[in-house]
Amino acid sequence: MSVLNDIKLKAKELLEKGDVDVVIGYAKGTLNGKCTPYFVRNANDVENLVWENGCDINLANYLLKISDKAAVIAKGCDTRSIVNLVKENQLDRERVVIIGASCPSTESCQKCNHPDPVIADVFLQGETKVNNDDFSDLESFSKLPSEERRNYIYKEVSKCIRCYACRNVCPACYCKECFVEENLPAWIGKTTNTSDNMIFHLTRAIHVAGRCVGCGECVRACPMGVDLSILNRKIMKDVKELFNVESGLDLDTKLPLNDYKEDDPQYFLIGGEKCE
Amino acid sequence: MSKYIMFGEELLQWLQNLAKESKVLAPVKEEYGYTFAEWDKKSLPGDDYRNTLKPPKDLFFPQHETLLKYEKIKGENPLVEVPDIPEDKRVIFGIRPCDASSLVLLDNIFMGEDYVDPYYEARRSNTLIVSLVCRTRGKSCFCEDLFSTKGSDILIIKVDGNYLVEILTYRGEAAFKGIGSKEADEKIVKKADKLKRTQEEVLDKDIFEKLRTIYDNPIWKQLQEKCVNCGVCTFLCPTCHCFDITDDKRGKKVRSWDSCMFASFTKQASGHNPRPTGTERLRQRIMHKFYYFPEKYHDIACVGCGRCVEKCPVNLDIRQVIEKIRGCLDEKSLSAI
Ligand code: SF4
Ligand code: SF4
Ligand code: SF4
Ligand code: SF4
Ligand code: SF4
Repeated sequence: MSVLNDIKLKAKELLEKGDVDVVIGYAKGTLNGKCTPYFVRNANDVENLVWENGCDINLANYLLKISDKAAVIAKGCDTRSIVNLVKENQLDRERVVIIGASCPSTESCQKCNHPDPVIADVFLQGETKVNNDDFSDLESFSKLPSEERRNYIYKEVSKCIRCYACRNVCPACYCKECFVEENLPAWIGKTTNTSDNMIFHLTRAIHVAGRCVGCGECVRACPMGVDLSILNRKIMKDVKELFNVESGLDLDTKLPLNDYKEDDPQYFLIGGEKCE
Repeated sequence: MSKYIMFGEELLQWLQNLAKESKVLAPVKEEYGYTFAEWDKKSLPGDDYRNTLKPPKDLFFPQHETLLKYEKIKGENPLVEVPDIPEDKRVIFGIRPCDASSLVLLDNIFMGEDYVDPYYEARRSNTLIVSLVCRTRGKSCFCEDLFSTKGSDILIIKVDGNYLVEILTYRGEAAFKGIGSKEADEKIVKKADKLKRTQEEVLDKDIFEKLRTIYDNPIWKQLQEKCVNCGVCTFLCPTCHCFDITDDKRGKKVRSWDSCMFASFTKQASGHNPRPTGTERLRQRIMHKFYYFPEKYHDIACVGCGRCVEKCPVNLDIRQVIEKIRGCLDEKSLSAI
């Protein structure tokens, strides 16, 4: 039996038994190679579900929008985002049924170490290629002269039209009022000058520090081809090295930057101890 | 008005001549797509040119624009500085007919009966629009007429490897004066007419009557379910024109694009939001394009350029929205169930 078949059976069962009101998954999209989020409320509609390359949009986001009892078809990164949302008290674990399945993507996310769900109520295993992300891209990036690194970041940032698709698709960006919308006083200008854009991107990168799961959705969502994943990955690497934590792998470990310990490494703070 | 036929070489030369007195903007390929930028004075857009990533509204109604600057001076009246009205003459070459027609829609807003925006008006009157007809529709395009002349001063159609140049306005005629090009013969004109007649039919965008009856229909909630309320579909839409005006700390009043899809768009100072969820926001976007705008200006505010289809991060396809609305039950039939 294929994973897709099992997904359909499980979704059908949950809906028919009335265990959930809605199953969130993917259906075929209208563009080549792209699947679209799909909300199944009627058991017969499970036939429209797909599980294939192109099912990449992070669905964890939608759980926050929906008040019904929901099941979600989740691959590795979606479950990691769910874990973080539970830990940050945004989502009640009991309210969600996680139909976990191995990531069907064959193209994107070469740097993903966790294509399989990290939590699930049912787990449907498929074939996945487990990668070994050793942050080698960061290593080569950090070897570039600072001028080149700066130019790269400037080039990416200057393409941005501030549509906020990257923020709105990101499961870690759920603030009811984001700093960019604060206007009494305003934190950031509304222009798309590099300086305003830079404030947006750097602040967002810091806000999702230790919470970003590297799902890559922000990059895929961008209509202008802005790719600043290097910032997120740099912070991800630092968090791993400093706190020995990879975001969203289990429900018990506290999110490193949401927690305080007296012996926390803090040499990145101004006036903090020196880095060896 | 006249029609001419030109070889590629002649077309280049004509543009090069124009470039001597005007700034010629043409689709230029960048890393991630085409954009209107100063023409390199050498080449015509390649065969892979479908359309620009950003719509041309940017060139008339920029994403952000300083409307005025002010400075407080102790004991005196504040110093107010108004930016100059743009005067440079421009040619936009290679704009697609869908986008050219979007400018006519925007004129209703920025050069309308009640209000004329001097910056927009200046840019419009300084700019010659030379559009280039697509050979076929792209996979996300659903413009009504590939050969639409609306908004163009000159329309160029590629026929048998040469360019049929249709002059549509006096401004277009003036830009073509003294060019030794051949008037197009009947054979070519007939060929072009045949192309015009044999276009594939596309989705009918007229859902005006249906929209009149479904304001409170549950369909809006279903349609918006996957929407994340970003600004992609509106910022990239050639006809969307909502803006915000804000003051920056250094005494600048800045007008910048805003979007009805943003949660903050209708948020009031009290904290109350009359469009509290995505349902009201998507309804607004669709009603504005296909009901309010036609009601006021007798035209649909969607030219079918397909940008929102192509770039929506969750593939919420406006063509499907139109179809679903057409197929849904109106309020009367709903209450009869
Ligand atoms: S960028 Fe920061 S303030 Fe905005 S939604 Fe994300 S985490 Fe919240
Ligand atoms: S910042 Fe980007 S990669 Fe990280 S969780 Fe958000 S959408 Fe995913
Ligand atoms: S999605 Fe892209 S263009 Fe939009 S705000 Fe994010 S980086 Fe900028
Ligand atoms: S609504 Fe979409 S297809 Fe229509 S004009 Fe706007 S961007 Fe183009
Ligand atoms: S681009 Fe798509 S997700 Fe974004 S607001 Fe428009 S319809 Fe919604």
